[in-house]
Amino acid sequence: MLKIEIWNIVFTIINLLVLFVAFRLVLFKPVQRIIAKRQEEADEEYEEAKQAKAEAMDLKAQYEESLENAKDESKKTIQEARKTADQEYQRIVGSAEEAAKQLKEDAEKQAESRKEQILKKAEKEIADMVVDAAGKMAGSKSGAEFDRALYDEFLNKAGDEA
Amino acid sequence: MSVGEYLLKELECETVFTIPIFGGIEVSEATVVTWIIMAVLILFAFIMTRGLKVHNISKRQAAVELAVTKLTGLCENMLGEEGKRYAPYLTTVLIYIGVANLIGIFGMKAPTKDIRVTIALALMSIVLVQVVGIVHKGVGKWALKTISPINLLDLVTRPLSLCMRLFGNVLGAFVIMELLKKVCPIILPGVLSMYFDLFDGLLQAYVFVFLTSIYIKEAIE
Repeated sequence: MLKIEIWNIVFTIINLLVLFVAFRLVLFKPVQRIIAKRQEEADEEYEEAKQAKAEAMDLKAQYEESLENAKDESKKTIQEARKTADQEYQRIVGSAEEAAKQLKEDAEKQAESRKEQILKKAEKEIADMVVDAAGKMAGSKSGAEFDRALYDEFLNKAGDEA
Repeated sequence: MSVGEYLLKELECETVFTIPIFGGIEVSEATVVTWIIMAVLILFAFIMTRGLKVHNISKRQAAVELAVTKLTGLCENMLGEEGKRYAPYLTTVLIYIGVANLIGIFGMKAPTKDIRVTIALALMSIVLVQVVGIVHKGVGKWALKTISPINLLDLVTRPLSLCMRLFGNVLGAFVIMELLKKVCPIILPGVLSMYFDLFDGLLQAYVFVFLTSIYIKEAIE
């Protein structure tokens, strides 16, 4: 129990040192190496994931931008198309109105001239009739008889004409 | 055989064999038991660390990883950031003293019951502390600090207290258990054995390592 001598103390010290070295070789080193390796891998994966995320964010921003651009573009195109269509519409309606007005004016003019023609013709015919009737009256009858005859003649002719 | 004789016989560290050089070197029981402990521990560690993998680890690997990380972490915590590199040695000491204190359960005589073993452990601790002091501060500063009377006294009292605390606790626990077995052989020894054989054994291993780490920390600062 209390026997103190140097040899067994030395043995114990050697034993402890051997145990320490052996533990380092077969226990601490291998386990620490494997844990460090795993940590390294985890770090790498984390770094990769971070990078991938950054790239994805970049792409997303790009897509969003191009989408925005496309929206603007389509809006502009639609606006232009609408403007062009409007102009075309205005032009077509304008020219149609113009044509209709022209047509109406022409028709009115024609109708006017035709009316005048008819009137002139009627006047001329009436005058002829009058002259004709007067000539006939003057050649065959006289006095009141002539007046009556003239009147009847005129009425007959006018009735025929009408 | 009286109780006293029995106890004395149990506490006696027998010489297992003698190496016939230098007038006969007596190899004590404690040394032989230590060899057995070493053989078992190293073999166990060797088997446990076969085929370590990074992924898809086996339960065996998970267990050994957990044990090593926890034990080394315990020592690293006590040593602080700068003293981390001495954690493997302290872990070795922790495992060794822990197993040595518990080996009584398997019917062997605990090596820590032999004062020569605790002297050796305390000597190594104090030498390590001085080496750490020299490595971290340089010889000049270390010598200046160590030369004061109080610190010179520390050089003696620290290993002495380390050695005697461990030895005394193991011895005390053993004597109490033996007496208990004589006085009341049923139930009571089983219950108290939990404390004296298991808990106290591990606690003393922890205390020894804890104090050593405090000394190392002090030597670094």
